[in-house]
Amino acid sequence: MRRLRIISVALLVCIGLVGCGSGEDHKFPNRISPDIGPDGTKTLRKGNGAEPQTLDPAQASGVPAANVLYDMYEGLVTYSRTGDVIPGVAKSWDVSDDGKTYIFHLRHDARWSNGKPVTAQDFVFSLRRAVAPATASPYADIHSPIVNASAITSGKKDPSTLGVTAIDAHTLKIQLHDRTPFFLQTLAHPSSYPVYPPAVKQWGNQFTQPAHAVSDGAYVLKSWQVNNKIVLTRNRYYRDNKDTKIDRVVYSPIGDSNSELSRYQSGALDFTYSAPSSKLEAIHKHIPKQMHAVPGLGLYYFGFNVTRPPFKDNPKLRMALSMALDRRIIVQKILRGGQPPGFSYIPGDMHGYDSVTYPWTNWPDKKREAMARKLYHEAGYSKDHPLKVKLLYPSSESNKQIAIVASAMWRRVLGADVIPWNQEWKVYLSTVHRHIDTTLFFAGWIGDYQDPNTFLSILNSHSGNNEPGWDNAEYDRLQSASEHMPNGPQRTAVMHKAEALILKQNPVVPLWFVTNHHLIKPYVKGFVGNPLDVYLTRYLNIVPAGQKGGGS
Amino acid sequence: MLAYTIKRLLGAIPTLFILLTLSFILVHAAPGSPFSMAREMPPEVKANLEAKYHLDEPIYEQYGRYLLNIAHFDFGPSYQYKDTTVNDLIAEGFPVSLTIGGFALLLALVLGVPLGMLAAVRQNRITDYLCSAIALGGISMPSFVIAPLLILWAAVYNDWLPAGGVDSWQSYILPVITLAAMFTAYILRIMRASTIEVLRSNFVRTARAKGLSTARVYGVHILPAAILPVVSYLGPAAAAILTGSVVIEEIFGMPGIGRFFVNGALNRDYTLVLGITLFYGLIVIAFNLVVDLIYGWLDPRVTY
Amino acid sequence: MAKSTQQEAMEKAVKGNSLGRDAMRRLAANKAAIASIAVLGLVVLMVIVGPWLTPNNYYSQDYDAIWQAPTLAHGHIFGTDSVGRDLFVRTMVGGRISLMVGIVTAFVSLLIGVAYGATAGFIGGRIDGFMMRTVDILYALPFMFLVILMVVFFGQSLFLMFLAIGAVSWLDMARIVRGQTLTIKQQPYVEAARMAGASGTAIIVRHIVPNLLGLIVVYVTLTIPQVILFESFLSFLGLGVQEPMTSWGALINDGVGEMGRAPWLLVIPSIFLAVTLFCFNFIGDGLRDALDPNDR
Repeated sequence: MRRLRIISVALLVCIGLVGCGSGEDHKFPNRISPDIGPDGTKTLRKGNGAEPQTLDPAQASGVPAANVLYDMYEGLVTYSRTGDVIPGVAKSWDVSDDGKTYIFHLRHDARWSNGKPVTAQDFVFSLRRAVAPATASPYADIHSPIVNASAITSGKKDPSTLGVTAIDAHTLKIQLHDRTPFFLQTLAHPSSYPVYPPAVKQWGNQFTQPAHAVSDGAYVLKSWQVNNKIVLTRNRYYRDNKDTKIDRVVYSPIGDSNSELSRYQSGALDFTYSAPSSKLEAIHKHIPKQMHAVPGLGLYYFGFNVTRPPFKDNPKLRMALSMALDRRIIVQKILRGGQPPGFSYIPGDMHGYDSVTYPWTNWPDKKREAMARKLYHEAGYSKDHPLKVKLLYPSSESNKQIAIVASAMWRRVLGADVIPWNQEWKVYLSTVHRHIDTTLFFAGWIGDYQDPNTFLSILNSHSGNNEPGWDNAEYDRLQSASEHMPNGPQRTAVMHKAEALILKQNPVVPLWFVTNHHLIKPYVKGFVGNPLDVYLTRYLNIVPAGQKGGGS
Repeated sequence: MLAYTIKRLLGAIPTLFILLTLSFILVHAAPGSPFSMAREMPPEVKANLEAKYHLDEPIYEQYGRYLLNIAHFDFGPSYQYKDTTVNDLIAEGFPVSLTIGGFALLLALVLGVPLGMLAAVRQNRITDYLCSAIALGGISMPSFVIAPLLILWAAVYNDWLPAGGVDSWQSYILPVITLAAMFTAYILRIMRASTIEVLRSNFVRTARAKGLSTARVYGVHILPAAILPVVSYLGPAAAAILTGSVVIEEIFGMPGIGRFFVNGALNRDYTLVLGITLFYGLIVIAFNLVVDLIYGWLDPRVTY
Repeated sequence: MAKSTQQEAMEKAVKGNSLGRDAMRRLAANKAAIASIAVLGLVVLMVIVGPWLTPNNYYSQDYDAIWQAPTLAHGHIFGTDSVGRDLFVRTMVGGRISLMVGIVTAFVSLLIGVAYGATAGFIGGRIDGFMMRTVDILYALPFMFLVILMVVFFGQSLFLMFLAIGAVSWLDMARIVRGQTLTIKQQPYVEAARMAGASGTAIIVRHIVPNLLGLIVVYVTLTIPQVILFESFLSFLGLGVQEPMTSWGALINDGVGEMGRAPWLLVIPSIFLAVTLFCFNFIGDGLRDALDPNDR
């Protein structure tokens, strides 16, 4: 009997150990300990998701790399506190009437971190490098509006033929094929940032290493330990150095949002990359003012492989599946992060563009579901002859939740037999791209710039990112036209037509729009949430409680 | 002994060659390229990238090129961390993993061996059950459960230790404890089982009958015999330093080699994965050799 | 010497039956082992019939009952998960997979691992070297890619999952058994059997394995929970169980992420895993004591 007692004691110990993790409702520790050195050196410690694959602006991709590059470099234009495009190294620019020629006037006080001036020639060098085949930049195509950019990338022309010329050291001319209303936005993207030509020539791909790093932004790379941290320090030659309050920035790659929260609570992070969804309730309850939920430029959706049955030429079935989903349940009960439900294709915050929405957006559930069933039957499916497909999603806990919730909704409303099917990320990518066996897949898209085109262009039949394989001549026409029209009501009208076509044909089923969550300590001042989720450290300040001051 | 060691070391070369070849085939056969991303690159950009890393060449040429580089101890550039080489990444990650794993193993030995012996001596008594319960508790709580709990306790609710990252030696304490939990469980249980066997064998009875002191019986007669299975276990355990601590490195945000490997595999970073595999194979072989040598030293009757 | 060994072998053959009975009797006297058998039997029974005892099923979602704490009032005695599914049924259903994983692991590591290790250690020399280098290679091979390729070429299936688990679970065992065999084969009784002309197989089966029993039992019982948890990693690679089906490994894995909000999602499956593990261990210890050759 004694043995049994020991077993039960041991079990109780186990339970007790596990159970102590749940005491959070009574107490939510959150240490306030700004990193200010004895000499007043202010350090901002940011969580940064994953490790950047490179700090070469031309080769970088992904948010973690971009976050660091925003601080290190400044392009012709840069981002304001609110994420708008504002003058950067260029203090002003002139645009020709046909919108094809841009003349940039560079600041005379723009400096590299070694004190040398930033010149128009540096931009010529850097943009040529960004499109050159040898660089193999994953974002080379973002420069395609520039004359000859695509031909250079595909090796048909020499980089020297790029439509970027230095008129003098401080005047830069960029020529475009055609009017491009969002061109300035692409110049704020990291792949347009200047690199220091002598460093690149001398060190090759090692020019990003701390020992060789020269940059023209507010900060310069001090040290970089892969998978541990990236440390930036003040660039004292930066033109606005006197208004830059924070001296050092430390980026830590923390993939697991629960680990990140622990570090934040322990006082070792000032600014998080995300917040774990299962803890949002507790965060809202205990530290509501440190929680920032910022609507972002991203869409999560289900895509159909429209090149194969059953979804090929079957808009009724696709609409039925879209209508059968209760998006409000998904965002309110499952995601719980304040995400806007996806009743349109383009996110809300697009510089004055108001999205088209599904006509049935505000229908009562019963009516919506009845209509979904009607369309499902019209498409030739029924209880005895149900739709049978696999729902492919890349392995992750949150994706899994969405897949099981959606398949349950389809089962309940339509009687469809949708089986969740997960694949490891790269396997998933190749399955989706091959267009062979995928019929229904879960995916997301994050916009590269703040213009509806960053979403509309991917469904063009010529786009490499057109995962559904949708090929609609009318849509292609509308989308290409909108790319080259001047901003205004006319362009908006064309884009509305394009978006309405997506919502009618449903090559993709929008689910919800991204909301970015950041936890920020109260002593970090000057934060303004913005849809691009771009936060330059030079706009922030660290002011411990009781001290005067705010953002610069 | 020396001849044996040299023979084994020479034998390692074909082993590593086979390992490398098989891994090369596996890694390249897996779907997805290092450069496939959510945002699909235009075909010409992808072609440029593949040309840059020689991925457009026939597979046997890539293999030949790779072997040639390996012969110069050059593991090549990392595809994932484009600004650095595989050699640098291993040089950066291995010391971290070795520190965590080495101290964890040491801690586990210090705790596991005496407790295991104690449990065996007090077999089927309360001390024995308590020891077993501790060991089994350690093993039924996987590191991905222990680690967050330790962080909550020592870093969040109390301000004793850092919650993650590597800044100072304190950063290593929690990861070492977490990893040691599993090792301790194994060592304690193995030690208990083998001590029980040894206690019943004739030579211990003889030693006792000769009237030797208890300390001497345990220290000189029982321990060397009973610890042999633990030594066998050290081979796999030392290898687990690399694989077993992946989860721990991830949760504590340590830049160890296990995390490099998993990230490399998920990103199809061929050179990084192959480099670490080869390195890992080398360690597995080396540790097993060391284990065999220790074996021979502890039990001179053993021949191979 | 030779004669006595032969005699012993003959005696053994004659006594075989009564020996088994003897072992049973000794096992029955071990209270911890008996209690463990009872508890394990209960767990197995719950896992098999449990899902039929409740009106809930393992896949139905209730968005109004998300993250309900364990309570009798709502009929969710173990509470619900993040999409409102009943944890009781899920734990039971998950146990079927996990117990099967445990049994396969035990089976493979006992059969392949012990046979392989004992053979290598007993024969020694070149063959030992070859066999152990093979284990080294399998050990260091990037297993993740093997799993990914299996999924790509053969699709996802439970059979493949067991194959993958079997493929890795015997390696450590082989290494440890081989190490111990090296010592045991030098023992006088093995020498004696050899001189008496016993075949290699007979020596391994009659003399080496029985003397390794304690170690084997310990190692198997410690490997089982590891593999049960490892199974959830296979799910990540697309090979293991697929939602809405589940396993203890998957439940614990998911539970960790939500432990701050809904600790029962971690605690309850963990208790089941721990209880099973404790039972395996005490049964293992009991079996070892009962079959101990030195006590005969």
